[in-house]
Amino acid sequence: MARNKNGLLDKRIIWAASWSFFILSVLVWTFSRQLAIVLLYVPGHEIQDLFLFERATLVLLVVITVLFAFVVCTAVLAHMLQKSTGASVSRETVTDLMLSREQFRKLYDNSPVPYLLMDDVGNIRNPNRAALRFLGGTLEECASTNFYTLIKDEEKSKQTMSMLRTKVERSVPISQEEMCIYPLNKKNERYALVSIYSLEHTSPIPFKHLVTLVDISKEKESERVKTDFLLLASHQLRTPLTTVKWYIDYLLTSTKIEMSSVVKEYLEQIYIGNERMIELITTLLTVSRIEMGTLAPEYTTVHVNDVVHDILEELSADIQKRKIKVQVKSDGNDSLIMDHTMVRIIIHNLLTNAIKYTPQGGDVTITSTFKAHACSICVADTGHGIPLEEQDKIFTKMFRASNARKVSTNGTGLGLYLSKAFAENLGGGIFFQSEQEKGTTFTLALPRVAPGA
Amino acid sequence: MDSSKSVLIIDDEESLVSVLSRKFNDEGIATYTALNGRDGLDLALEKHPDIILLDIMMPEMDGFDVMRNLQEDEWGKTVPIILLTNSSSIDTVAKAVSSGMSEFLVKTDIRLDDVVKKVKSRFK
Repeated sequence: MARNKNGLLDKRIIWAASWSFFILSVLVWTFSRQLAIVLLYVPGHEIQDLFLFERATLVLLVVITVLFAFVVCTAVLAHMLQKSTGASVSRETVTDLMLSREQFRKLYDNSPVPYLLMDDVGNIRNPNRAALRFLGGTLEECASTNFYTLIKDEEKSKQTMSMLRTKVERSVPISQEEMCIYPLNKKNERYALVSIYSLEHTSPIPFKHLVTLVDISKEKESERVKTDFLLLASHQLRTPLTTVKWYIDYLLTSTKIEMSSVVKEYLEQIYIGNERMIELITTLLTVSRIEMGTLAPEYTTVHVNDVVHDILEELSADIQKRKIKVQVKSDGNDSLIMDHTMVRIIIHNLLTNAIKYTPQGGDVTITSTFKAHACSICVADTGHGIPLEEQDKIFTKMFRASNARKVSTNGTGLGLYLSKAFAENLGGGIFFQSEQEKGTTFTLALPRVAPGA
Repeated sequence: MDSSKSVLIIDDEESLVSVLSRKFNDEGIATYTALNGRDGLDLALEKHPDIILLDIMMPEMDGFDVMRNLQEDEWGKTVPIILLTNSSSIDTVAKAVSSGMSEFLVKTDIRLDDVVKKVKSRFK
């Protein structure tokens, strides 16, 4: 490129020089006689050698013309040189193109991501090495296979499949669609994120769809192992707890067994301990499930007021014991489309916290406001409040405020963490305002209809 | 003692089968017990109990398989089934509902007395 630039610069100078010479020579020729008179005129003498001067001018002109011719020739030569340099650039472009084509082929063939080309009906062409490995067949086997026949139907319903085909035929790009694929060697099914892009605008060939398959079989497998583990853990951990629960129940309710009141009281304590264990395991499993993203909400109509009353009923013994004045205010239609369990867990957590951390005789007020598209449920207490310096941590896992730990040793520090996760899962959020020794107000904001419903 | 009513308990956890059986007997309800799905299915088809308490996760044949097999039997189609399980995961619940069962209970969530109440309410 530098050569080109220099060439252009030279050319411009040469053209300027030759034009100046030409103009100068024309001027000299036109005004030669007048110039001679001016130059040779001496006052009091006659002009004698005018003819000689004219000849000298002619010689000068010849010299100028020769110079001019030389300059023009140089300019023409430079111009030709410029042209030949241009020719060498286009040769370079061809080399570059070939090189990049070679690079592209190497990349396509050896990329760890499986690529293949496909026509409108799904016939495979040009699978790269990774695609051959992924599909588990030879080049010939793949070439005689239809891509659509490899997609497992149970995973993608018939309707989704026909929609997929229509999209491909109409050259609508498909991006990262998760699909289960049967390999040609009939071994274990594999999972891939499939993207299909059409090359229609650049080429009229029949195999115009570029398919990329990102292998996610390993991720799928580890996900399955984790879910299996959780299911097993939840089953195995709960079975012995159920045994304890039901045997104590049997002992406490059986009319056939005689027991002293002390034994009964101890059994009740064991029962309470066991219940706490069950609750803890349930919470831990829920936390793992939500973190793994395997907790799928189920949407039904939820009546918030019913949920609140139900929970207050459950907590009534505690409320009476601690002489807490509970007030419930609600306005508007209280029905939401939400996951019932999640909403219940959130409100349960907010209410138990309010009752637990409010001193004897305090107030707890529940105010629910329902608007056209959203609602808010406020739980205000006159409790111990959250220390200012700890307020930014209250939604973190296993966090318990320093003053809360002094009031009650019983608590997992998972309640608010879980509530926030649930609320966000349902398209809402939890906010709070707190002042130490005055009280705390938690606000649960939810849309009328959860986004996934 | 009203022994005209009977319950079949199918669960692989022996201690739970034992306490449930004891409780039902105290209430005057006859019980049949099986510790795996296959034995449970055979016993059900042989004894025709009034209700079946069925665990889901069991070796050999799980609760869903037992239900599927019962569906193929003329009597089995009509018998009320209460599924008892300890995996309260929502997928399990969803699966249970889709296979048309009568009721679904999570063991850790229900007291022994309430199990008896549920069963009795099904007799009527």
